[in-house]
Parts: sequence; structure tokens; C-alpha cells
Amino acid sequence: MSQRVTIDPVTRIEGHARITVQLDEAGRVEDAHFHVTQVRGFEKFCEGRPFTEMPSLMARICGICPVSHLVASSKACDALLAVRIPPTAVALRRIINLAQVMQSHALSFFYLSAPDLLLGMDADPARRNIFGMLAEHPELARDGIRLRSIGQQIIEMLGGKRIHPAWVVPGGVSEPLTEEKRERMLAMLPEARDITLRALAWFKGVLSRYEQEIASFANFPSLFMALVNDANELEHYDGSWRIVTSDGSVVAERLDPLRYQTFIEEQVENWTYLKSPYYKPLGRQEGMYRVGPLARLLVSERCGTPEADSEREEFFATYGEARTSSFFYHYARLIEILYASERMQMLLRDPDILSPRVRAHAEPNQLEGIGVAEAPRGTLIHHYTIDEHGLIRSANLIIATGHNNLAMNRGVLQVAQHFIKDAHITDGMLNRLEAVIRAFDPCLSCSTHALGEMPLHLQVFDAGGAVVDERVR
Amino acid sequence: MSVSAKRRPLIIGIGNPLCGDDGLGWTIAEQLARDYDGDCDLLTVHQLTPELAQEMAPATLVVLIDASREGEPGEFRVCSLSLSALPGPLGAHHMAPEELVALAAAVYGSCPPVVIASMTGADFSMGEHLSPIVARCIPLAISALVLQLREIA
Repeated sequence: MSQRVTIDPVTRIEGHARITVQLDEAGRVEDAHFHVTQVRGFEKFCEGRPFTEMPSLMARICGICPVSHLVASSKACDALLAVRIPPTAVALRRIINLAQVMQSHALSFFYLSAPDLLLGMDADPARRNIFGMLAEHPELARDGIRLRSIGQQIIEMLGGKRIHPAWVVPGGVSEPLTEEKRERMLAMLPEARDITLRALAWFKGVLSRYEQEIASFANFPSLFMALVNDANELEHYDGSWRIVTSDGSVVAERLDPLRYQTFIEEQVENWTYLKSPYYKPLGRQEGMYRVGPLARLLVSERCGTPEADSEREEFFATYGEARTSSFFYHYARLIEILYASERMQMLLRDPDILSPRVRAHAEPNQLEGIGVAEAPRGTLIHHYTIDEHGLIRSANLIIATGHNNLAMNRGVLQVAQHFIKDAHITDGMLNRLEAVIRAFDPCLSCSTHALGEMPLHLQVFDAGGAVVDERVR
Repeated sequence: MSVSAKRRPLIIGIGNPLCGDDGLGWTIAEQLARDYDGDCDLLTVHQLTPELAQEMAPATLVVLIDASREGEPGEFRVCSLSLSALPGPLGAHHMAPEELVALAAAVYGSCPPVVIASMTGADFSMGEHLSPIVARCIPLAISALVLQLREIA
């Protein structure tokens, strides 16, 4: 009798999703899927709106990473204006994007995943939260709150508010940076660096407990894709795409993001609202790729800042071939936070950062614009066409979570096959199925007002569709 | 860890000002901060999130102002939060006031008294305007909160 296991909704992720695991008659895992069960419609309802509204509209896609959408959307609008924005505006956009990386990664690591890492995948779910962390390791919990707060404060100082700032605009940014704000930001960043180094030291110390998870959390060959700069260093704002295999071989480089449609195909599945992009030249199977912090570390040759580079080298030296396990997204997040704190300091110390010339003004000069940036979770693409009046005719968005869709699904299957040996499902097994998804930190649209009360609902179906076992936590 | 050393009341308006009366918490909080004659800090947020614990801990009093769907439109209620409430599992997007108080006390060693003020909304549909009945009731609510602040702070 074949059975199906359903986890609905998946908890501690950004949005709503469901996992189903299909067992065969012997109770072995036959297949598994990660379903995204909500449809948002942003690409459709912005049609007919003035293109100048797009950054603010698109920022509403997400309450966790609105800045990433703001940046990618504004870059697409820069292309519609056909302007080259002032260098200071580029630097300021880089800073707010890195602050976004810092606060988003802090949320993912400290709030969503650290309870599993600190208390164990099999710990009582009632304790597997920040209060459990406080009891076990109060400094780690305090550090998480503080680190996220630093990222948010920098966003607020630049953008005027923590969520949905409107400071990044087509042509640049709306206001220059003041000396007073620069000094306040510079004063906070050493603390962010210290917190991150403490978290890295702690994380490296507990990794030996997670050999099984390292082995089974989406640990398979795939492509990895990210932006890099001309020196093949980490790049979050500009640059070109580079694609490597799990063993580090370069598949493609210097790919122009503006030509993404020539090498990215988007496949639609009938069991999820999330599209499944893949690298077109290699086809759906071989062309599956991963994006995000781990991909950025693997694709680049260096971070480009001293302390992050030192941590990156240690990571590569310690974990060798295992480094492509998606469990290491957590590790990569911490290294990227360190990079962000170093890089923001470099950018803020440049005297030109206070230049008053931060915006180029123009009317639309092109009817098509593409904006690409690295969001916390990976490469983000905004592609708009407009009519002669500047009204949006079409919008296509490929978000990081979409890029990772094929790999997340394969990861769920791998974890299910590793941990579920018969029809008996334990809480620890359920948590690992969610945790492999959490490692990717998918953002399924947090702006739809999830109330934070997302019970885990498990149902086991027999071949006839009848529920033979059910649990809610 | 740097918690501000300032010691004054903190007013937090909660809601989404793009959803009609859901934004009444922001409106009341902003007006209250202007009308209150003592020093106070003001925050307007969409939801309660863990980082707010850091802002709450050093305050002398925290006033949380939110819209409600319960009761008659315009109905205004003020109550003190029971600090004995036990925290539940933590969400990254949203916390209950009790959880936030428990978090502030656990992380920073203390949490000031917390007052929850809520007004029942009439229209939560898309739009940046408050419904007429809520708009009419807000001045009285602010006067009541100013008195309360003077009394407690």
C-alpha cells in the first residue's frame, strides 16, 4: 500500500509551502515535492502602472528583503531611462543592499535555523525557538537580535524606514548621505563584525554534530550561479554571471545578465506556483543550478575583503568536496555577513560617499529594461517593457527561491530517502525535511502577513487517498 | 550589545497604513507623541518583531497601539499587559506582545510596564484613509492616552 506524507505548512520559512513525501508499498520513499501554495500576481497587476512606481510596488513583494527588489527594480528603471547613475549613488545602493544581506542572513541564521543547530534536530519543538536558545546560549540569542538590528538600522538611516524604504529610485537615490549618518553607521559595524566572528567560532565548533545532515541536505552535484566582479570576487550589485560545477570547473563566465533569456529557461510545473528555472544549454536535468550565499562563495575566487577571505579559505580547506552540501548555506551566510560588514566600512570611508550628486534625471529612452542584483538568497532579475507613455506592458521576475526550486525539491527527496526508512515518521524526521528547505532560506512572499502561528500538519495517506495517520504540532 | 540608555516612555504604533483602519495605530501613536508634553520615543511598525525587545527594555513605559476587529467600530480599550503570560513559539515575522515582553525580560534582564491600547476599526480594505467613524474617535482616544501617560510615566 503506497502512502503519502504531507507537511503543511512548512514552518520557519518566509511564506507558505507544503512538503509531500510519497512512500511505496514497502514504506520506502518514492518521491518528494516542495509545493509553493500561494500565488501573488505581482507580474500581472503592475501592468498598466507608470514605470516610476515599479520600485515601490515591487518592494512590497517581500517584508524581509524589500531592498533587494528595490535595487533590482530601480536598475531595470535606470535601463528604461538609459542613464548611467552617479558613482556615489551606486556606492550607496551597494551599502543598503549589503545591510539587507546582513539583516536577512541574521534572521535566517539566528532566528530560523540556530535553534535547530543549538538544540538539535530532535529537540522538543516547544523548545526549538529563540527562548530555548536563550536558556541554552543567551549570548548567541542576544547577538542574533543585535546583528539583525544593526542591518535594519543602517537600512533605516539610508532609506528612512526599516521596511519598504523608498530611497532607491530610478536614476539613483533620492537623498545624499550625511556625515552624521555615515559616522553612526561606521560606529556600529565593528560590533557587527565581532558578533559574526563569535557566531562563526560557535558554528564551526558544533558542525561535527551534523555529519548526517551535511551528507544528506541537498548534497549532490549541481551547477552554481552568481554574479562576480571583473576579478571574480563576490559581487552583489553589478558584474557578470559565472557558473561553475560542484568540483569548481567553470561552465560559463562573463555572462551578460541582460541576456538572461538566452541561457535561462523557466519551466512551469502543475504542482507548484513556483517556476523552475534551469541553465538552458545543459537541459533540465544537467542544468539544475543553485544560487545564494553558498553559490556565491563557490562561484567566486575570493570574497575581496581580508577577514571574509580568511574564513572562506578555512571553509574550503576544511570541507573540501563536501562544501557543496546545502547545509553549508548556513556557514556561507555567516561569511557573507562578515564580508558585508567589511565592505560597508570600505564604502563608507570613501570621501566621495558624501557627494551630493546622487541622481540622474531623464525621461524614458528605451522600452525595455532589465535589472539584476544579488539578493540575500541569490540572483534576482527584474525585466520590464513599457509603452510610449511609460506604462508597464509586461514584467518578468525571477527570484532567488525560483532559481533554487529544482535543487530544493531534489534536496527534500534526498533527506526523505536518508531519514525515512519506513512509514513511521518521527518529529525529528519532519524537522529535517523542513530544515533542508530552511537551509536554502526560501522567501515565498513574507509580505502576505503570515501570523507566526504556522502549525506543522502531517498526514499519511494510503493509496486510496484515505488518511491513515495524522499529527499536528 | 548596545541598548540605549535613555529612560523615557516608548510609543509603538502597529499596523499597515495602506489597509484603511489597520493604520489607526500609526495615526494615534504619531499624534500622541506630538501631544504628550514629556519626552518620549516613537516607533511605527507593521508587526511586532524580536528586535523591538531591544528598544523596549530601557523605556520607562511601553504603549502598544493597534487596530482591533473586535467590538463596535471606534470602540477604544486600554489595558495593562500581564507580565505573567508565558511566551509561545517565536515567529520571525510577528510576535504577540506577551512574547515580546518575555523576550525583553529574558535578554535584557527587565521590561517596563506595557500598556496595550486598541481601537476597533470599521474598514480594513486597501486605502490610506481612516474610516469616518474611526477618524472621529481618535482625538478622544489620544486625550485618554495622554492622561494615562502623565499618570504612569
